[in-house]
Amino acid sequence: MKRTPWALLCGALALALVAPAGASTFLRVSQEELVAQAEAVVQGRVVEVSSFWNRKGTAIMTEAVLEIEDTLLGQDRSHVRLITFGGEVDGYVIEAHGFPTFRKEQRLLLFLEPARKNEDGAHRVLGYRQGEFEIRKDRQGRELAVATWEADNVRILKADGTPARAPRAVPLDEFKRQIVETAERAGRHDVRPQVQ
Amino acid sequence: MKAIKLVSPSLVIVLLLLCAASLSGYVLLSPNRTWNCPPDYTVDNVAGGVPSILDADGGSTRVVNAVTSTAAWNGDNSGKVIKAHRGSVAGFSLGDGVPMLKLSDPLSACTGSCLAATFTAYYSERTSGSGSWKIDDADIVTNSTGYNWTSEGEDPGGVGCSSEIYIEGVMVHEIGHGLGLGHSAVSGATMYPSVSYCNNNPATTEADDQSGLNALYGSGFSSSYETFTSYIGSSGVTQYQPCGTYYWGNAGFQNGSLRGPAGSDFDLYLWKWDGTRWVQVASATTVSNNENISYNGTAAWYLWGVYSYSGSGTYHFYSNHP
Repeated sequence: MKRTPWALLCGALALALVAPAGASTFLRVSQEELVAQAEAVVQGRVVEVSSFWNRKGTAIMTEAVLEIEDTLLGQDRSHVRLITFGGEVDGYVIEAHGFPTFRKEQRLLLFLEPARKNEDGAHRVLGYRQGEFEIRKDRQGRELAVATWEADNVRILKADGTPARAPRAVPLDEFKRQIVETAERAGRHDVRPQVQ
Repeated sequence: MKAIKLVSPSLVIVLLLLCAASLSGYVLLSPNRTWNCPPDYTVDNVAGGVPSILDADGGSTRVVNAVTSTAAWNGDNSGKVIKAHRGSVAGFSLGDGVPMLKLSDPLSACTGSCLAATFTAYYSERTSGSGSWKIDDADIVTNSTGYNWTSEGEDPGGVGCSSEIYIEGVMVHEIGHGLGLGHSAVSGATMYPSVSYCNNNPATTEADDQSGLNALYGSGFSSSYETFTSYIGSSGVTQYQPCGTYYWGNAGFQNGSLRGPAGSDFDLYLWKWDGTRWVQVASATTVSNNENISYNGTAAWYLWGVYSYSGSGTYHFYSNHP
């Protein structure tokens, strides 16, 4: 056991500074990588959320239905089914720290992985929480894209092993424009026309 | 003097902020939660372990030793809070009450940018409305093929390590989550959300990690004592320890220490099986929330009783015997 004097001096103060947190360890995925790897990038509203034990009974999964408001990249569609690990069934909670979570009526901008056959065609969010942005309004009523992994204190590392900072909240329109420009620079041919 | 009066409170605030900045401190998962008994992790004994770790068993034994070491959680003055052994994790399942550390990812949950993932589960409060939550299960999966892993067996002290991640440090960190800890803002702490290539320091816990563990499991006991946590909701209730059952004690001192909730009067009893019935052989019944018994007995089955004479709350019980 190693000790630091600061810890001894400030221990009492630290007791007052507890807050919720998450776990697990992830490597940072850049926006360029997200854009390059995403099957689709969509904006939408969560209209259904349900949790269940998987077929083998080894994990609780949560599935959500996203009603699409805008498709930035990928196939145009009205709804998409999302899947993630963790959830609550009959009062039994499994927390999958650092994995995306969904709430009904939540508005999200998501980078999606290709659907997996063994998950009935549902999509996972690419890069775990790194591919999940919540759409919120600021005091002026402007819509912002807010990274969800900062709030959950997820452990995300850069390639050199140092901790990555969550991207700051940016106006939604600006964020979408960045994504489209990145996709065009990368030569993706499935960029959807944007209405400004 | 006027200036001093104005400056002094500011200095105090600055000092407090400095304290907070350098020790924003450990974080407990919410809701705060603990195990009733030290979890005994089954660490994957799969042949070869993690393919990129070139030690005797692909890091498996190194992980067992690291997570149970007194340089980590079991040395943090909260007694023995975790056990681990190598074994089969073929029946890996979340929420089954069997804590497992898998050196692969049977759920396909931790792929791509994920190095390792911890899943915790808590069923309910120990008593409804008590605010005392128990952990039923906490499992870990590893992205063993997506990254270059190493161990102290392959690259002792960093020698020979190149762009690799030490499995010991990552797993001591993940086990910290499994014990109920979140991330700390103290740089250098095991629970700090950062790990560098070829840096195994997180395998050794720091003072901040200890403070977090002590907040959950109490303090004042070495790893020779096993730690049990439970909740009594009203006066006149007896609970049995360790973990609701009896144990075989070899001849010698049967030591038990109770740390009850503040303001309560909890008592401690020890019974011994004489072949036909349980016989009370020791008791500690001071007007206090803390009690200790050290009973020098013959080899036999023993049973501890924690009794709430008055008061309620979460308590810790620490047991040591030959």
